[in-house]
Amino acid sequence: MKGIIVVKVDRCLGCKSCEIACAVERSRSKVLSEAIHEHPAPPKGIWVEKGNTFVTPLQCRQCEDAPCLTVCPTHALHRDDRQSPVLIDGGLCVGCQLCVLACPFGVIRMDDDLHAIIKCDQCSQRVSDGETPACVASCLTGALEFKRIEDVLQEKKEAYLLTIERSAETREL
Amino acid sequence: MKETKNIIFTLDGREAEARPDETVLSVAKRLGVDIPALCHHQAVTSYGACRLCVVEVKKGKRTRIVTACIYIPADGDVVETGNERVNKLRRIILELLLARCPEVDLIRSLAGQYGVDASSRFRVSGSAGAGERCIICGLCVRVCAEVMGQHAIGYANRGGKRMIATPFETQTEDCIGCGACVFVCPTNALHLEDIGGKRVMKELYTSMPMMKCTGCGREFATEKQIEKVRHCLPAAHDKIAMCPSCRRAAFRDAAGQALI
Ligand code: SF4
Ligand code: FES
Repeated sequence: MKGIIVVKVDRCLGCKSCEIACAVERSRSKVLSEAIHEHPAPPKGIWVEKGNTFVTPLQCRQCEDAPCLTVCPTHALHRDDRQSPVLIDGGLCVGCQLCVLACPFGVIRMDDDLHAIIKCDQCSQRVSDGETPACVASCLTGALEFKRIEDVLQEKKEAYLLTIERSAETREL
Repeated sequence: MKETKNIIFTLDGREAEARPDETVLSVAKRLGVDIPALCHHQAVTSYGACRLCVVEVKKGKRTRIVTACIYIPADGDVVETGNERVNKLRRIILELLLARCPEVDLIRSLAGQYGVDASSRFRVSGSAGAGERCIICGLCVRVCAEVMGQHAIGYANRGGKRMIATPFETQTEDCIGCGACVFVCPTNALHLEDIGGKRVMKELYTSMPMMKCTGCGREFATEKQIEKVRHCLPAAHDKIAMCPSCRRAAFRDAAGQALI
């Protein structure tokens, strides 16, 4: 299934389960109790961003017109089509960090210990195995959801129509 | 169409298929056959500098030694990647590399793997001094020119005095301080350090100003890197002068605002 990770920001409690699940998924053992002892430490591709009054998880938005793809000089960053996640081919990467500096969300980084660029790949392997991305599966409050793009669009349309209908009612009152 | 036909050859006794233009090294990688290679990177043209990837090719009655990172197999070739002759050659190459760069972990571990004695019988002359790490494979030169298009690094001198350098061994305007050369260097001969508002690359005689994040004031990239990103992105976004962590915070705040 092709989909996107939808963030319901008002549901996030800031527990960081998603950060841990992401790192465990990227570890060699894929088991928390072993992952914490691994060297180099398994990286994460999601950040729980805490402000004074507000907290939200943030990972690669898989931009349709992705700046990282545009700047990458070696095509190490690539994707099948505009609806598929942007993936990285480590063998082609030269570590120039243009992608890190191009990303408007600040969610691509160079991991010096792993000698590699780390970004969210939307858990491509899990998704093709019929599972949801690790962060989504770990979220206890439903702040992270994995949805088909068509479904998201449909929901948005319905919500929009609803607001129009409501405002029509309000006008009558 | 002749040129798109795949090539069938023998790799270590089993049948292998190469795309036209595909090197032995690339086929071997695909099939999980390990060939040591120091100066090869998928993103740049192969140069055959380190010679570690030597393999033997049998064509009919003739046998010869080629570098796997450059050699494109022909139909019917019989390639052996680790027979006695190949291993003997690799041992000599490793001994030579070890004589020049005894401190490089990668060379030491390869030498160990091939049973090469830690004390090489070769003596070094020329430019290499104590603590030399550069094997002059030129991966940095190629990445800088071919991939980044900057041409900041080249070779200086000849023979035993040959070395990697910027033109006239001074700071060059062409370097943007991206660190791709440091990243691809197989022996960690190049270094990059951010100190006192400057990005310093001492082996390349370079020290250049960094950009302060407009959010937190931390120096996060060189001015020239940001210039390059602006140049590559026709529609650069407004957060280009912010460090990644402030960019994430900006997103969080925007999302928070949208909720209120
Ligand atoms: S760091 Fe690697 S992935 Fe990023 S732009 Fe440079 S070559 Fe491409
Ligand atoms: S990798 Fe082929 S010569 Fe260095």
